[in-house]
Amino acid sequence: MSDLSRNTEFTDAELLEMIVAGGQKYQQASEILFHKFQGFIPKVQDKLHLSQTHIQDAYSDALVKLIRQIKLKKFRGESKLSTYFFSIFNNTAVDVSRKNSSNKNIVTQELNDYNLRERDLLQILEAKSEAKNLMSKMAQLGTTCQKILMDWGYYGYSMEEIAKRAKLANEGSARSMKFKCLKKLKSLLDVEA
Amino acid sequence: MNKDLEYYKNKFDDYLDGHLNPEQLEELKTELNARPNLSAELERHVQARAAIRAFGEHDQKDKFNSMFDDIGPSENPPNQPKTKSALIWALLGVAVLAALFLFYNNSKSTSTNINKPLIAYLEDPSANLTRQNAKVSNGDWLAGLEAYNNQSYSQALEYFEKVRTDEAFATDNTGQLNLYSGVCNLRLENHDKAIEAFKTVPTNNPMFDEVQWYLALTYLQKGENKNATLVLQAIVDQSSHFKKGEAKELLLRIKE
Repeated sequence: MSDLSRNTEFTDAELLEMIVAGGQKYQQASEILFHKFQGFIPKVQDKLHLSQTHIQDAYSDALVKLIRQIKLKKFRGESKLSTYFFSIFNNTAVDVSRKNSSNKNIVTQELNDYNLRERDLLQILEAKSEAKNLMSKMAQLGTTCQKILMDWGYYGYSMEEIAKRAKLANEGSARSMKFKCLKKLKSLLDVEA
Repeated sequence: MNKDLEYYKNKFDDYLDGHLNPEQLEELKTELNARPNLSAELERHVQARAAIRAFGEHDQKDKFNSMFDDIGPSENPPNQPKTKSALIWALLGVAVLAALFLFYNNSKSTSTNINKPLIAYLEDPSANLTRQNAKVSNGDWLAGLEAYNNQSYSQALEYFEKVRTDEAFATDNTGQLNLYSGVCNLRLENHDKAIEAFKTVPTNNPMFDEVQWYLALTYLQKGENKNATLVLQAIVDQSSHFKKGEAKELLLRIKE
């Protein structure tokens, strides 16, 4: 864990910028967020009497949701980031408490509102079963392709950074690999269709 | 015009991320309408992006979960001994309160019949000193919390009043400060002061859900069942309030 991740002196606005920027800045911000809100864990755990495993699962899930909201620009700093996060964390933990964790990971698969533009255009991401199906196609790719596509499409690394992370010769090689992996993923999605 | 398919396919990401300028956007939209195969390609691209993002979220969650393993036991916030000790204190507190309430009921004929079952619902929100932000340097605040944990409510209130003189601290901690002040006053049966403290907490404060619950209990203890009903109903109307079940029970008791 980097020392930076334990630095809680970043302002909310700086953290939002880092998340949206992607790449290394995103990684740093995600580590900072992980440490920043841990004081909420005992409060929610005491309140809902959740086990350590369940409260940690809820906390991780809530952070993923928070990051999603920031990337979607649904959270723009109208309230304090901590207040906003607490609300997500509390609701997530209540869900876990109610369902006794039988819904592990379901929340991270709620794709229906990930990208409003995408939804408005095609309306294909409504059902959770659709999300599961999409995930299974990614799982069928090799690890290298999975990493390259995630680095590009989720973590927001530049092609230059992706090349370094995947130990590829240069930016051009990374671009070419990304293209091939994306094509392979699309062909897997076609099989189901 | 009439550029090849690859040219437009390369614009998909900018299109979906809203990075095209108005002219480029118009051009792509026109082509999407005119070329069904381009439209189908866009659909495939959206699906692929969605799959990557779903997988990325899953990966990110795994990373967060594994980060808990890197935290040493001493840094791990919740632990069993504290819970056990809190439970003992809570049980003792409930026992003492039960005795007080029985005495109170016997001596006051005007008490509502809601007072007796209320005991079962009344337990202090825990204030764990170790979970306080490391940056907290307000000695009165820490002393107040310690007194609160020892159920020395009058003493705790004295400290909390001193804390209010530090305006910046009081503003940053308005939720906790007014929650614990309110509960102290509730315990001391200073109902109006308790209500005043609870009502200070804004609705977007992380403590607001707890404040709502104790506000309802204060109204009940004061015998203001109408106000209590309003607050309890507000709790019940929230899909994820941590006291939704108990609020429902109390509403039924009030109606009996």
